[in-house]
Amino acid sequence: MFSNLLERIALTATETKPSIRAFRRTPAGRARRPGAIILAMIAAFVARPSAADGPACFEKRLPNGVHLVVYADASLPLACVDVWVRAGSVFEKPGEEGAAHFLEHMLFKGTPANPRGRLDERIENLGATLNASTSRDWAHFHTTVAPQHLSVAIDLLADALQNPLFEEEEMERERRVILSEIAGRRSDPTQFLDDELGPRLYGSHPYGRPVYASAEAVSRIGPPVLRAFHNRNYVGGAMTVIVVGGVQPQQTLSVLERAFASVPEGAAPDWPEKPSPPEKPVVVDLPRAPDGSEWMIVGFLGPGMDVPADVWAMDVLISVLVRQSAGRLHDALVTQNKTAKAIDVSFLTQKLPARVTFTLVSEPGKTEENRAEILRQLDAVGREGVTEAEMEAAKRYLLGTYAFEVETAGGQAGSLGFYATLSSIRDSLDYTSHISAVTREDARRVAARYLRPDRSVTVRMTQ
Amino acid sequence: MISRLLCILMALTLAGARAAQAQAADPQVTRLTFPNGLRLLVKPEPGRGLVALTVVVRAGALEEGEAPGVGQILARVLLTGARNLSERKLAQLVDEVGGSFSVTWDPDYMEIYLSTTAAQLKPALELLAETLIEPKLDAQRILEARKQVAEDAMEAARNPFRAGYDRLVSLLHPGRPYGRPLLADPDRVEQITSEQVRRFMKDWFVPSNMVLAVVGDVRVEQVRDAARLWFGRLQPAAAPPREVPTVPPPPSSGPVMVEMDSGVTYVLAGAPASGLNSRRYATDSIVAAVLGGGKASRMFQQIREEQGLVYELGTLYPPLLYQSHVVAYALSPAYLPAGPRDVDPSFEQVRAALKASVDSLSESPITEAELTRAKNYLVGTFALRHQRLQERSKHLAWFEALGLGWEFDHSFPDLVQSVTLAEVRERAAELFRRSAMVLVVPRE
Repeated sequence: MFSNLLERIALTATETKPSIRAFRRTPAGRARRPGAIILAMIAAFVARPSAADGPACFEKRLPNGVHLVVYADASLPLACVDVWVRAGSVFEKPGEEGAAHFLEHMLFKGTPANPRGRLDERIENLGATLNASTSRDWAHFHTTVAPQHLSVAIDLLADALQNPLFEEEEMERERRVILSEIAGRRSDPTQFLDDELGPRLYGSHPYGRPVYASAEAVSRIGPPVLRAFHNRNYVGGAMTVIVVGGVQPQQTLSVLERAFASVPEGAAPDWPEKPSPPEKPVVVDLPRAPDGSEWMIVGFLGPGMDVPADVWAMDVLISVLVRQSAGRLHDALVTQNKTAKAIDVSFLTQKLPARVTFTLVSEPGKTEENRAEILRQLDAVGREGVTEAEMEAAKRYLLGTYAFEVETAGGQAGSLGFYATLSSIRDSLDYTSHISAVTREDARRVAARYLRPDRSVTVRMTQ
Repeated sequence: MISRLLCILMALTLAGARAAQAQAADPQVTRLTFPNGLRLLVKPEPGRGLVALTVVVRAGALEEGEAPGVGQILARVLLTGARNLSERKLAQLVDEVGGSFSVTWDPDYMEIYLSTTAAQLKPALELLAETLIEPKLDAQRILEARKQVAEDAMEAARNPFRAGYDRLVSLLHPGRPYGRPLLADPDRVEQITSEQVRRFMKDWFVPSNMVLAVVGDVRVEQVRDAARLWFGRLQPAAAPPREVPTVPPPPSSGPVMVEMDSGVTYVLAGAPASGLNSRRYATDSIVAAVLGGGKASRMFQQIREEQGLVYELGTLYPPLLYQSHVVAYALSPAYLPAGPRDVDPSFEQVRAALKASVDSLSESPITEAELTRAKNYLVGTFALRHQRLQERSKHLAWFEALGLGWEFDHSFPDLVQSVTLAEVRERAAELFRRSAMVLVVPRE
């Protein structure tokens, strides 16, 4: 599923917001206020109608392999440029662990033309900010500006990605920032559990290690490692540049062509071998969180974009199971049994089998009961399937969520780039059709195939 | 059904069928005032088939009087359905109209939001009106909501940033409504009675104290007629006079330490700043942006880029109506079950670095380049906050309800651009002269 999960799962180098969502920075004094209490009920959309003279999508492949996409939509007040590179942590070689994420940090540390600080100053003078994130399959870099500033923003982003300095002194300073980021991530039970689950679910496969690798790995990385990773992966065949907004397509393609023509030619790296699910259930117990609450993650190896039909079915199925304050598992554990305070589900689509996780906070002493109930419910779905009403509600919710995801230039660019990197932009443009076509049998089938209790991995913070 | 229709027809007769149309500075936004006092703002945006509806009721902390938390309890109750609309039915209706529904409580107002497809405008307005006009205010439901609010407040008190922020705000606005914990004091919430919740609703949820904004693929006449049908039922009434908070005394204490069962250390420094209703609001916004807004800000450059001390840092400047505060914060993780504790910067380093950045405002005058960057950053991020229908409808209703007029949404960028270098230097020099600091640290 492409969604706001990106924000939560991918590591970001440039965000400076506090980890508490309600306390987001309000620099212009206009965002949701600190402490505002939001009581969301449910979200769903039937479909996203489009105007007769609606958006149009244009593509071009440069001789060096860079894939250019312009999605012209006159209704959007702002324009986004978003560069996706197939350069996630899964492409790190032995000794390079952590390089993909470290590199993302260093790419905004200046170039010969725009030294450190100057890049930020120039982009913020356009009324924008540079943002980036790294995941297992990809890294992406983006900014949203008023359309009249788009060409300058494209030039700045292209310069940052192609001409990084990798100065040793800068690296040392940034290393401390990354170590601080890692420490912050490990102090958050949700992210900590996800990191602990990985190697138990994937074994030695690179999908199993955290994107940042480890503090020790980060401490070892020097400029030569970053240069090697950059030279090998930031090549034309691995790069997709998306522009979304009320722009003139041909003119925008020309600007992009000029800015990215000098990216080195080269093929995208090969994907690693497909991981295998664990052969028997695994349960790991770890110390409790500092506040004493009982956290647990239950994970499975789900489908990847090598089997796209199963990905669409899994997107629907997880919405049947948990969606905001509803869904079969939410109803069972939170509403009826009252054995869990909250439950969340996660499935961030990857090229190869991606993790499906259920993360929950249990009422005291109820963790094992909840684990058993989750596995029992999943087993039942695999055998008996789901109801038509559940399917309809899940699809409406999912399509509604997606409609809101792509409401902005940045959201639309994110969707196009995400699927361009993993499969094709067609999967972004056709996402609603893919979801609408999922049947009850599809949902049952993927539950039976992927969410098997005998292949589950559980990590609990209860000791 | 017959009796309900009769009620609606009677209400329409009472309310009158004509709404007065006010002049609008921007032809895109139409402001209508119904005879019962409710203001309606409509901004048609054809093309996407979506619509966002926001009702802002000016009923926040200032209106809670001696019952802090009563507004949050009411917000909870509103989410659970109306007299003729069970929680399950409400959920189904929202599901059927295909949208999202939320209630947000804020120190200055309460916001009820609904999004849907444009084709479902009428049922969406009905759902909103039912929720606002006939909420289920029985004692049992209020009791349940009270319990949930108390639990939320206790949960928030365990959150290190929120705990630190609440403590800091209490130092900056002592004894004032803006100085209360954002999620209420659990002990005081427990004392709130059903009667107080009903009284709060009766006093403040009157049409003259409400603004409905509708933005999306709709026509003005279509919204006007549907809104009149459903909101015309509200009986006209005047809200009680509200007490404008007095200016708080300058904070005088030294750094306050808050110990938490947590894995992180937060350093927060705060100072009183102008409210939205002040002509200095734009100036203070610029000073806050120079200090910690964006990656070219002083804090980001000095603390993260030059020293590599922390990952999370910045400034907060909540847009409170009468008086606000600028908060500079930095996070230093300390709970490292398997992490690099030995390489983390010391807490003292972070504290000293944050203090140095804050002090630089008075010691190193803001430059012309910093001013330009901060202005552009503010105007740009302001535009970014308007990308979604929800954000656009919220801003219109919010500014209108607070008495600033929806036009403030259009004029803010110009206000920012009109601030001079001399003005920001003057404010920068004095802003943190009256400041407070809170240090959130893990319990030993």
